[in-house]
Amino acid sequence: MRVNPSVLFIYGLSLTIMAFALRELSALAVLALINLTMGVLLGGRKYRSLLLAFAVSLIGVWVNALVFAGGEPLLTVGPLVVRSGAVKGFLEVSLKLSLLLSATLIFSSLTSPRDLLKSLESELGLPKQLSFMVSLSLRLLRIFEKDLAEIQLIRRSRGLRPIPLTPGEWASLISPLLSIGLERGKWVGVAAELRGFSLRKIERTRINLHSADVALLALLVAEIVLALYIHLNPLDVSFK
Amino acid sequence: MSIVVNVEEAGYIKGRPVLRDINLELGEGEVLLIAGPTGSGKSTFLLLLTGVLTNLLYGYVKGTVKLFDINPLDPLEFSLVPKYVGIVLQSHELQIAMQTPIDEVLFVLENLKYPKPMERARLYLLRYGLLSKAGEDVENLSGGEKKRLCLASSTVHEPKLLILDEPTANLDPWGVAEVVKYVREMKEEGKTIIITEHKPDYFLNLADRVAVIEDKTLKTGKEYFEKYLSRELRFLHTSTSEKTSVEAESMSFKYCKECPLIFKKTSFSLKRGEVVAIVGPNGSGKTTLGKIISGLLKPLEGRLLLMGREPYRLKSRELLRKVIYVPQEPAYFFVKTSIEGEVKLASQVSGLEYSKVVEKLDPWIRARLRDSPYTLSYGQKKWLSQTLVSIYGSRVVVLDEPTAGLDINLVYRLFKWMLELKKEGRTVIVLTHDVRVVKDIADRVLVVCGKQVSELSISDAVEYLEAPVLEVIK
Repeated sequence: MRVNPSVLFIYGLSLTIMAFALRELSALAVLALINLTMGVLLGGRKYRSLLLAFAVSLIGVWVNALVFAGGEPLLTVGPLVVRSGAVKGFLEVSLKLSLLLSATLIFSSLTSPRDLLKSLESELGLPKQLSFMVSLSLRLLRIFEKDLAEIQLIRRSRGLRPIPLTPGEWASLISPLLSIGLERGKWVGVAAELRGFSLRKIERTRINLHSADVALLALLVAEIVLALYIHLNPLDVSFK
Repeated sequence: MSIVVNVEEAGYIKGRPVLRDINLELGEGEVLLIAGPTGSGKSTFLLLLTGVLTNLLYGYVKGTVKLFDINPLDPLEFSLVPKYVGIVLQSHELQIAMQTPIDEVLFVLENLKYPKPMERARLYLLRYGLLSKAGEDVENLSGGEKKRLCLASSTVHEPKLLILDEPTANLDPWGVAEVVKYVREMKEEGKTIIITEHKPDYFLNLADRVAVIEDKTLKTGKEYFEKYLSRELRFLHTSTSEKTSVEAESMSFKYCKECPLIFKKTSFSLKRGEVVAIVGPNGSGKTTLGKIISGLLKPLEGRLLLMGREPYRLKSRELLRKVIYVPQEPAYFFVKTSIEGEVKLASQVSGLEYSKVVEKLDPWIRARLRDSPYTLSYGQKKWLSQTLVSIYGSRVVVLDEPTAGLDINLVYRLFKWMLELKKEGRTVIVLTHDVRVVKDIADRVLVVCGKQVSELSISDAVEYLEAPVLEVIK
């Protein structure tokens, strides 16, 4: 399926904005369900580690919610008290993360860095530096997958759990990822400059929409309308 | 002169020069080969020359640089550098920005507004033997193919100057031979070429001039250069124990159901207290084999025993006592945010007293205990990972390309360290393309090829690794 990269960018950006802006659980749940299904179908095989990282991060979100959230006690198991705020907080953050993950999976599965670069700078008129950064993130995401898998293996070799559970273990997984990612970002930027990126001239072109683009934009409009409707007519979801 | 450099000092932070008193004049069509210790400033010199040091990395330069008719230190003229220069960085992972070979080459042509970019890109992919893989995901290319892609994207715009930073790093002998062949072609085309290399022998016949960077300065002339050429480091191959440490029986492996087999019913065994070099082409499965031995991957069929146990069934700590795997990329190895944390973890796991372990550390590591391991240079990271391996005391040590990026003196230290491990009765398994490992330290050599692991005599292994390159550098 070929989708115009600019349309994908608009779709992904809109999902991201909605993930940050929406607070209604029902709206978030509907959007997450639609987009996570699409995202997993399109990029689930390609980005397995990302899905695994997402699943593991939910454990962290739950622990965090249990410790810090207030509200009415819903369940008491020994010293552990599950409060209404914890359930609500966990659901809200998890759904927001699901939307962000969906946006990433859909976006990165349906375009390539060069197509995206050309489309963003010439069709949407974004500055070439910004367009390059966005397109580069697609390439880095694939390498990030590889790095993550490798680091998890090596953790076992160092006598640690491949999948981190505690905050300290998370730090030990994220530190090498960030360190390697930053180094890579810096040198790919240098290499791009040495291959004439600053001399790159942009010719503006019009966006050509095909049926897949129209369908995706229609879906986006429907999702925005749905989110607005639920915002204006909130469903009564309570954990009391 | 095509390149004139007169630099009093240069570096990343004012007052802390990495390079001093650099004076160089290079004529058009000349090939300059630069050697020097790890971390001496060879890459910094290349960044200085291209203006990257001052224009992109916020470094400083006191002096002048002339690159053909432009001054790369001038921010306005810096943007013209790509028209004159093609550069291949040491690590292809740090250079490739696009997802397919054709996109990578087109990116350069589109930047420089070449007419008919597709035609030209295809021509260059053909030249570098990549046309059939033009649309393939770059992550599916072998190391040699990625290096060729970097060469294609660095030369597709016909630059006058080609800069190659460690072009043979991590390449198998066939990949090295290809790179040498392409460099010869470019020299014949009259290009000016600057090469930095830890194994300068490969390019010696092509070089018009040789230089070294040491003590922060560039010294041209053969008298400085000789000591960086490969020399015999031979360590006596001592007798080994008869006890088996690793044994594979009819072992098969593949990564997924649909993936091709990497190993098919292969068998081999390794003894305790021996240094075993595992060689083979890029992508043949050396690293995979290292990971299977290290209990990080599970064989599909057959079995692999590590001191009588199946390693992938062992719990992490128990596994660590038996085997440790050191990856080619040292940053993957670290799990703590400070060197102190790394040393503490290793001491704790091996039951040693931290203060006593610290006393035995190299002085430079002691001085940087509070630093993050990720702030170290590549060579330092490698050295720290080896230090941690010593602390852990695992009985089998698997080292993936341990000599990559190390100068000859560090290679010598590495071999001495391997010898110490061997004397302690530990099995050292080295996954490598480096013929020096085979010649100078290995007791036995296994070759991974055609889904099988088989043994080669040392002399046959030396010939296996040297022949492809010798043919080209003659």
